[in-house]
Amino acid sequence: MTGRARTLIGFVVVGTALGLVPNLEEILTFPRFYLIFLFTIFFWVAQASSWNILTGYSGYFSFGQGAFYGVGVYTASVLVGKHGWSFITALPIAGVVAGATGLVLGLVVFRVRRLTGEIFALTTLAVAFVLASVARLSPSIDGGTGIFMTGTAVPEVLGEFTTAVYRLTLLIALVAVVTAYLIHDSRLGWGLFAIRDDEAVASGLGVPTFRYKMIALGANASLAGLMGGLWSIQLGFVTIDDVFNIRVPLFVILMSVLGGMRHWMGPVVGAVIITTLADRLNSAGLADVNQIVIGGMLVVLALAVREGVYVRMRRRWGTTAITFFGVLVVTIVLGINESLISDFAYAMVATVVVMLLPERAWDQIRRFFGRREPGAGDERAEGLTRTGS
Amino acid sequence: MTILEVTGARKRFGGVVALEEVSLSISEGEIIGLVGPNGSGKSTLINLLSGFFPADDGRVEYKGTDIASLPAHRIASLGIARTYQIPRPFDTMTPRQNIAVSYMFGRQRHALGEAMAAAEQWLVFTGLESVADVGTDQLTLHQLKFLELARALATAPSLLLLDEVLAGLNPTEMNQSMEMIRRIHAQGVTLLIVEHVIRAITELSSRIVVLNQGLVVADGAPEAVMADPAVVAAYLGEKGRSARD
Repeated sequence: MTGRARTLIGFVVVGTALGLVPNLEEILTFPRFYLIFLFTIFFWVAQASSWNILTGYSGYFSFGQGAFYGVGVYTASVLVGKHGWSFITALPIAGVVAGATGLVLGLVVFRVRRLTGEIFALTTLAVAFVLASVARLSPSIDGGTGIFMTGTAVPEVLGEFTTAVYRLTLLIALVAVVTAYLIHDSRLGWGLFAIRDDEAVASGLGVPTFRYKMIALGANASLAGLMGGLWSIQLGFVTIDDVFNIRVPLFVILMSVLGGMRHWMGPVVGAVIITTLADRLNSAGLADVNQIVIGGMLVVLALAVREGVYVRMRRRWGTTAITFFGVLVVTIVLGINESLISDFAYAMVATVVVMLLPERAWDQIRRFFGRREPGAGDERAEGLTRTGS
Repeated sequence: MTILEVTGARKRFGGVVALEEVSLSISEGEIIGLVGPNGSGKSTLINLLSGFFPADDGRVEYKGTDIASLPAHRIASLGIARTYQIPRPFDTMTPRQNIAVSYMFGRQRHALGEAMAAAEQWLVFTGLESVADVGTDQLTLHQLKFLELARALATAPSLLLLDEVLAGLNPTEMNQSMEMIRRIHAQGVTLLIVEHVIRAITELSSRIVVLNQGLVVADGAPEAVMADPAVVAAYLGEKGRSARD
């Protein structure tokens, strides 16, 4: 079996297992909150993974996530809240409209050679502000009053409200991650990596740079908007200030940098860790220091593990597994925490701390235990999967 | 048969004239040495031929197609490849992956898996097998220049533009590189070589074209061109010319 088939089967297994979690609620009698916690993770996994398709793969640093997410939220809200569409019909439209927004933006920014680097980042940020103003000023969109989404009907096959949101977020997150994975191991993905490293050289070697950047941006925008459309019913009441703010773009950056932008799994790992920590800090009544803690973490990690923790986890998978499950089992058995989520949070923090150990120190430890010298293939090249083997 | 025909190509950057007017014809199977002092327009011409920027004026015909305003990736797919004076590898990829990217795109579409396997032959050709899977920061200048060559060759070009592949190499490495250039030529690739090392260029080229201040000042057989007073003047100035006389 090829590596790709195995990975795709893995997605099906993980997806099915997670999809069955709501069915276990009565048997395992876990609090309802666990479902909400999990679908918050799915939301961020989709946002971070979709952002990484453009920014991580092609190197074009985008703050446009907030705009695409916002377009998705508002498309669904206007169609459902103002025009009485059924939610499940409005949802794909949200993805399409956000994708179209991305492509229009791309037509402008990718045609102008000078719009690279900081200027590109600022342009994408400006788009969110412009869209927010348009929505605020236009009564047919928002007009400054907000839109009520409470009581929106979801298809009964998906279960009651929370379960339905859970299953839909899971589905969209899976679509986002599988898309990121398939692009990562394809011509498109490698063309994007080449663009990230040196766009002029890539073009000279035959990479159709404009088309590839448009595809990446389109995928990013439509996935972000699709999840945004779904999130509108979770928000219940949609306002400009809640939707078009810096939170979404900032968090996807944090998550991807933490997990690693070179690999499709990086943003997934980052989203899980940051969502879990943010949740625990909030429930401990530390919502105010939440951002300080996460911001500080980002600085430390950006300095210590430039490639992101996921690449190191792969290189040190044994240690990762022992640390994570060790801490998890100990905290559960000792009953230190009231919530299982806290146990996971402890395990994640412990794992991240172990990953902070510098490469050189790591090599010395390996040597001390008589392991063979690590191969010459260094961390930099590790981010790209070995394909064709 | 003519492979490349440049007619009246002009290029200026702001107020600076890089190419005043260049006309040049290259036949299939030639090795053209393109020489000239710094700032004479050699690199501009290479950039123009590979589609880095369009010409302000003039025609560039490659195998009968006007490529003067085509984007770089289209030109690559027609069979023109280039190397860079200062090597520009993809830094987050290994040499093998660098070559695979170029094979995957280049002149023909190839699948990713196929490309990783095909990279091997260019690694062998350029003698880079021992460093195939390390970071590019561990390569010497010599190896980086060979990687440039390997990557250009993997696109399967008919016309290869070499921008100072010999500069900065020691005599042994230079001989190795010249040998490799001959082997590339033997495979039926037409070459345009920009070079400062005069010994190498006269030995390799079947014809030499001299640029000075954006104009072609000489075009002909190596020995004749290098003895041309206009060429001597371009390199050494009028004084050099009188000193020689």
